Amino acid sequence: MALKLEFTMDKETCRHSLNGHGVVMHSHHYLALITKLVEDLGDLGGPQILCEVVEESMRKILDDYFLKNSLSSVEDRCRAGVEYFSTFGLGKMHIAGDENGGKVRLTSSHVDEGWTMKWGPHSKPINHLTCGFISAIFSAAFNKPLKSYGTTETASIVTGQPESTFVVTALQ
Amino acid sequence: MTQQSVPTLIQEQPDNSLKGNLSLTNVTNLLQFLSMSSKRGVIELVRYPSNNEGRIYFVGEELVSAQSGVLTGIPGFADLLSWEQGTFHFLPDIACIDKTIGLNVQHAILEAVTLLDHQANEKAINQNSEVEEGGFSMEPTERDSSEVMNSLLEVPGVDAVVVVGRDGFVIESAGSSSRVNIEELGASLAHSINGIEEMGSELNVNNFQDMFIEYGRAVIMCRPVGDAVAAIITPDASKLGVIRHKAKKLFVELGQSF
Amino acid sequence: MTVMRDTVVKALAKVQVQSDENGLIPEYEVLVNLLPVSLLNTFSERIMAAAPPERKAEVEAGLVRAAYECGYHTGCGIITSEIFSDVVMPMVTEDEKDILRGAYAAFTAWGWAKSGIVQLKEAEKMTIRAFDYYEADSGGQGLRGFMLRGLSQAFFDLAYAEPYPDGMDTYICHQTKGLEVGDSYGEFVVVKK
Repeated sequence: MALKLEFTMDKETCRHSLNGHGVVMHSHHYLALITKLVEDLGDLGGPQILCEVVEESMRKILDDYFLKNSLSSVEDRCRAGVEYFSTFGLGKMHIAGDENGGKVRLTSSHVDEGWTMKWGPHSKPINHLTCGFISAIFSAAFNKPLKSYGTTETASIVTGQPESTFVVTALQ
Repeated sequence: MTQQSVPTLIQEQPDNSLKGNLSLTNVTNLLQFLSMSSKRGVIELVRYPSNNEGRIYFVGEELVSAQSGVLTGIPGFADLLSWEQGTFHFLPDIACIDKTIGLNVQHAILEAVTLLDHQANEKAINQNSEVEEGGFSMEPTERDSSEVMNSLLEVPGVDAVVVVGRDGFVIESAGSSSRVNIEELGASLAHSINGIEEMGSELNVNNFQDMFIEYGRAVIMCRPVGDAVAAIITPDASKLGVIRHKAKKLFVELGQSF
Repeated sequence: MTVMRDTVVKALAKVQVQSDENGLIPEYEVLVNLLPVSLLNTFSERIMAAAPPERKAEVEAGLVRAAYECGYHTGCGIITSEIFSDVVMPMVTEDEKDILRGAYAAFTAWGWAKSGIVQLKEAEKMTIRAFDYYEADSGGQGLRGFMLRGLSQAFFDLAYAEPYPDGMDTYICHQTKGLEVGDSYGEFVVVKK
């Protein structure tokens, strides 16, 4: 079942919403620099902050969507998560796994391709945003609390790999 | 009837005249009140502290004649409108032989205010050129736009004041906007002024300086303020003369913010 | 004729970005993304909160920089795009000034900030007023219009600095008022660096 998309605009403020949640457009320059910022602030826990914020924000959106559309199966929920990822222009995601964790591949990635377009390839994975997104999909799909899954990027388009790979692990 | 004979006539009749001080009202309001009450006669004015004298003759809504010192007609009337301190004395049923104006009172007020505007503009240009020649810069504005707009709201008859960018962006508004939708007013004004400026350009009559639009339920008066346009919304045209007169300085002040 | 804001807002507000078969949105010479406002605001606040006092300026500068570079590069793509050419350019009679008017109408239409130009001294200074912007909801303490600061600086650079891409960092934008601190509007002033 394709993701139901309802785009609306507030007449007074011109703010845009997707399925009732405010959204705004930015470019790969923005996300590349936000990613660079959290990398530079590694000593302050920058990558972890980005990852957690994405998980929290996406979890609310996914829970809301599942409820409104009565999505109860793990497959439907994962599919909705993947389609949200693409609708946001973040790339193409492929999920495999179960309640204990899994493996996620990105065959295209806004963050990685944006970074590469801006600065060229990088020596290590930088897609913290997608780590948070994947954790949100897994916890929402299996009705688990936030931070129930840890996601690690093990291969990355930004380092020259053809695909990015993420390993998802259920945390005790 | 000569002017010298007036006191004699007044003494012979019961005192049904109206007297007062210009600190309590102003010439525009007084004249509008009397003319709309279908009165006829002369308003005698004495200005403080100079003790200059002036006279305004009218019959109902027609302004017949005006005199301020040696100035007569609209220039004399315009001078009287600028008097803020002094006394007035209305003598009913006094007629004037010389008709130096002969216009509807509202029309005459507008003519006089326009003349005052031109005089003020010329004065400002002269002052600016003196300042430039002397190498001084203008003093920065002391009040921000919100304060100036609140002063505009205090002018009797003003419902709302809006400042709109040339693109129709509503920069600031103050007062009640129940008569018109302010956002839509911004867009509409920008479109109208564009058209009016294009017309001015085609006709080679210089830039737009003033615009009045009278609708059934509102009158909108606009002037450029800096690079933007200010609009005043008033319920009807009855106080347009006094609004225009009192708003003039405030519009100039507002222009320094935009 | 000058750029009529309502015309631009109505036309551009209808624009909807849609991802391709790769889940990407290539538009305006960049890859566009569509992110939840709550995510962006929460991130700004958390990263600011994580920084010790002596490093808050560094974090703030990083957030403004992200918006600036996004605005500079995407802005160039926007003002040379087909839709901008169709909707805005026919109304442009005052060159850069009108392009900036069109840009702020676009910012409004796309939900970044309901904003417009208050005063513009060409190539010198520009004052912007915003009556709504998503960062005003971030819940942090102090001025939070990082996005509009970056965008305003970027578009003034595009308008009056050296031609793209050589005009970066010619101007700077300061936020002087904010809805988030109780003012009735946000005010942003762009001046030469």
